[in-house]
Amino acid sequence: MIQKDNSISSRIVLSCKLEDNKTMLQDSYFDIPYKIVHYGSRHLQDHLEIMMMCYSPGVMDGDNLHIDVHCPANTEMKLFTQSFNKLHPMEKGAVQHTEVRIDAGASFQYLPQPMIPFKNSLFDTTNEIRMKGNSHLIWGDIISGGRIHSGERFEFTRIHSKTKVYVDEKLIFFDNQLMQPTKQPIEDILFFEGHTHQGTLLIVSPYAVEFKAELDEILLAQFTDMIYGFTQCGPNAIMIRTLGESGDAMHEWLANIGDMCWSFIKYKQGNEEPAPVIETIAAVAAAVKKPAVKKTAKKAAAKKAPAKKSAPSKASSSKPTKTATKKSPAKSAKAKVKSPGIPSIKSVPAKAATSVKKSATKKATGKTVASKKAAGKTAANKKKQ
Amino acid sequence: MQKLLTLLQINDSMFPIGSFTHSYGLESYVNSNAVHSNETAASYARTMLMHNIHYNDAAFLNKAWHCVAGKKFWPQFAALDELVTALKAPAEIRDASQKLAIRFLKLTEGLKPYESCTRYLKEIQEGKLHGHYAMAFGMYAKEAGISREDALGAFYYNSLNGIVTNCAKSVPISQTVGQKILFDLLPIIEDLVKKQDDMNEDMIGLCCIGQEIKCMQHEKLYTRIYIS
Repeated sequence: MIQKDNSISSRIVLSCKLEDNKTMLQDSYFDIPYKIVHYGSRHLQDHLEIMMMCYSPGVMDGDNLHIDVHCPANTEMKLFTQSFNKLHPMEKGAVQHTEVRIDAGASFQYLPQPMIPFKNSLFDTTNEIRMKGNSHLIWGDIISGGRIHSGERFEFTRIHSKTKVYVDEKLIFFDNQLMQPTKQPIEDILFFEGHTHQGTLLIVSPYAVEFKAELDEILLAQFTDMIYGFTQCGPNAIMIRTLGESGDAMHEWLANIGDMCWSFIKYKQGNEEPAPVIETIAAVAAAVKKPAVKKTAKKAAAKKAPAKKSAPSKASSSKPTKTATKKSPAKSAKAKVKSPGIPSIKSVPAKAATSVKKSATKKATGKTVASKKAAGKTAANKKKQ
Repeated sequence: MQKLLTLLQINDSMFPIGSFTHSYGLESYVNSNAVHSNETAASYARTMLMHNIHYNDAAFLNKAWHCVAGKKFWPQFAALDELVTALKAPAEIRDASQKLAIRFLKLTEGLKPYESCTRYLKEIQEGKLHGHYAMAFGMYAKEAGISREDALGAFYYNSLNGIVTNCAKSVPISQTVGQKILFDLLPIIEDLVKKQDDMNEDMIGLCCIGQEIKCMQHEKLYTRIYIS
């Protein structure tokens, strides 16, 4: 709704339902300038993939957005945004409030594209996520220091972002971030420390701690252009935080880990999606046949796919595991054929490569996950170069 | 006089609760060479004081001090404990806060027991509450009749003293330079104590992202002298 002062008050209401084990869209209400659409075909997977689009140039002074998401019991939803969230110069400031409810057994993933605060922007955002002990959340955010390459570096007025997660009505996580360049040594020690982007990925799930054990094995070395740390930030919660120079690279890396975690959760729930390696090859084949059908994140995933494959094929060729034998021969052959044109495994640090092999052969349950892990590592490593 | 002496005793850096075993991310900073000289150590100490401790532990202490009053404060105090636990994301920092709280409460119970402190210790041990040092300190100070300003000032001073001592040990900087850093920051402590009550509710628990990452990285450091 457009207010008298030309600012926009918008609301987005999104909910889903379960039909024959497939998650379908239930309510989708949106106001100008937002739009909610299915992300690609709704029949490709059992979970629901929704894209939130904004057809205005970005967030303007006085804007107010309220997002309400509900995932009823056992539903699975991934929410994407289409473009970077641009915050324009402001005087009063803009407000965004997001409320998410994740009922028992449901899964929700949301890692929006990075936020770019222009000069003099002023933005307050609050997120409240209410979930159950057995529901799953993968949540992230990335904030940049401005239009860095235009020379606009930390010239925004203020960004205040608060994220609260309640599990069974108990507050288990609260991230309170205030960035106010005029009042903080924002580029110095304790804050951005010379970097221009910060990113956070939060995972809350009964399997989060097990997933952290997997991360402990793959995230062994720091990148040259990005620093990160991860920790168990609550009883069933883990968090990755990172500082770097590129919003795109950061989004890709965190999205990768988010997807890995999603697969891990689905695997643990006993209804794992098609084996990740095969899925990747299928995605590459599709991308080769029909270039640029899908946008943004999916495009990125397709681009990354070659890197993803190198490690698993190496792992399976060096030591045949049960994963390899499970795959149909034609498909695993395909993987081997594809691998020559791919960045070599040499790019993986020695330590990481051994751990990949080790974890790939370790136990039956970890295998598919291990190959995905390797993928994440190689992709990340590729970036490093 | 007795109140001052009690405060000096419980706030002493040698009070055996193990606070000297924690660096709160400083070890990672030294390891990554971000803190490597007198100047960087001074800037680290100043930023920690103004942008981390002020909005976190000192703010929690202040809230706990205000909260402990009368007989019906417990639900409010428990809610504060839950909030602080949710805010302290890095596992080592959360654990440090809990360990220090337990030791502090055990030790002070032996000196002079107060009903509320005994209950806090009991609920931490039973797993009902997480336990946080700053809150335990604030609670004990209130019960012992120590003024809010004194308790806060002493807490800031001891936190800063810990940073300076750790810098002297690990960067390393000379003891003389360490004391100079400490002395130069004393006016800031006074200023922060004055401002503490004016803090907006929204500002409690502000995180410094770089420091938080360093605290997380500490879990994976190859050589670790400190627990956090």
